[in-house]
Amino acid sequence: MLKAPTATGLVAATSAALLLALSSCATPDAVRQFVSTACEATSQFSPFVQDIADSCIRRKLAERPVTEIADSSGAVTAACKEDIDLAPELLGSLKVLTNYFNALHSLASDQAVTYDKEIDSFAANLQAAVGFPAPATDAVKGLAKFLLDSAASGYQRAHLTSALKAADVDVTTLTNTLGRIAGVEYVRDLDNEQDSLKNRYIDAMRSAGHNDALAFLLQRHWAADLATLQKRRGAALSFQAALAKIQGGHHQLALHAGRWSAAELSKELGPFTASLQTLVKNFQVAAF
Amino acid sequence: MPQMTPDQADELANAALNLKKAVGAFRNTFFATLTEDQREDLQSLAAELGDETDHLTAVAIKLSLADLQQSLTHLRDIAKGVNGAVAHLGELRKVLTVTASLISLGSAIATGDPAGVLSALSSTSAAIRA
Repeated sequence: MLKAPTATGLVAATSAALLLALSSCATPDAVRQFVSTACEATSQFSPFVQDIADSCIRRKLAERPVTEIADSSGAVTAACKEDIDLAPELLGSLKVLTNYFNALHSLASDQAVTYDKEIDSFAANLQAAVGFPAPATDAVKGLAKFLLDSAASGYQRAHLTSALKAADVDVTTLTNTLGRIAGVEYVRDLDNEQDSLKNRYIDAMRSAGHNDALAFLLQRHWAADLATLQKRRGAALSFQAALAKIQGGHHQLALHAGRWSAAELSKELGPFTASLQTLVKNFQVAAF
Repeated sequence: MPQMTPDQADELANAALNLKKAVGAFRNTFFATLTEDQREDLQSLAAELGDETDHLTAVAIKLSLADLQQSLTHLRDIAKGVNGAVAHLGELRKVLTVTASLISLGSAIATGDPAGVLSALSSTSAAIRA
């Protein structure tokens, strides 16, 4: 025989139901906020990618004789071919990452996943190169396959947990590679550019002899160029840090997927989301 | 050696950039002592070192691990020696010796022959130490 519920029992049951309802509302909010910020962050870095090749071009131009008046674009472009060829691969990979986080946002919002269909052919044709190694290309292909499957099979919110766990290795690999390209290789390129530029200014200053007016102008130009390089360096390091936050936040999500505690998720994802927002602002002040 | 690790590629790129900076500083310090051709040759070497991705990495991937480590050691020694020359050198004969060995290194890098580059790195390192 069933016992009639007591008043205390009813209050407890109602409270538990309310807490559960709040929890299920709050959890997707924390997830949505993080993936939305990650999506926004990865979508804003294309000017930086373009500047990898541009830095090489500026350096090669700075290494030309100071007194030369000529169209050196052909020779300079040829010298920077490797960096120029890398740009579409990096832009495409960033697009895959952006679309992946957009897909997570859709799943967390109970919406159907849609994505840029150009990603299918990009991923199919992507090949490993010196600047973009095989593990990174595999990661791009893995995330692109997730997008294809999630759109084709009409993934629902229930797929979010398995998606996060399955993609975590690919997100880690891709963010590591992109972060290294930005924070190590591009920063070294800027250092390289700065050295060539400095020597060009020294050559120009030497040929100016004792002309103080000309020396003054050269100093001002050098200071301005140096400040621009510093801003770009800062942007690259912000980008690398943003990718590390994206990787860390995604990993936390993957670890906690299936154990959705709103309080824990907010506590763990909140700092990642806040840091990402700051880093994107830092990046936006860079002069590209 | 089939493929350099990212750390090895980094080490090589950093060593090449440090040597590039040292060569540029050397050229600037002894500019008045050098002939026009020597200035241009040193500038070409600096540019080649700056293009390490195109030149040195292509050479390095053909080297054995032991030869790569030796090349990195030579690159660091040469950069250290050239920086030392910039700071302390006053003797014209020594400046010209360092210049000649650096220019030979530039020619070897430009050919892209791994054995030639390794040999030039070794002799440049020895010449700068002498």
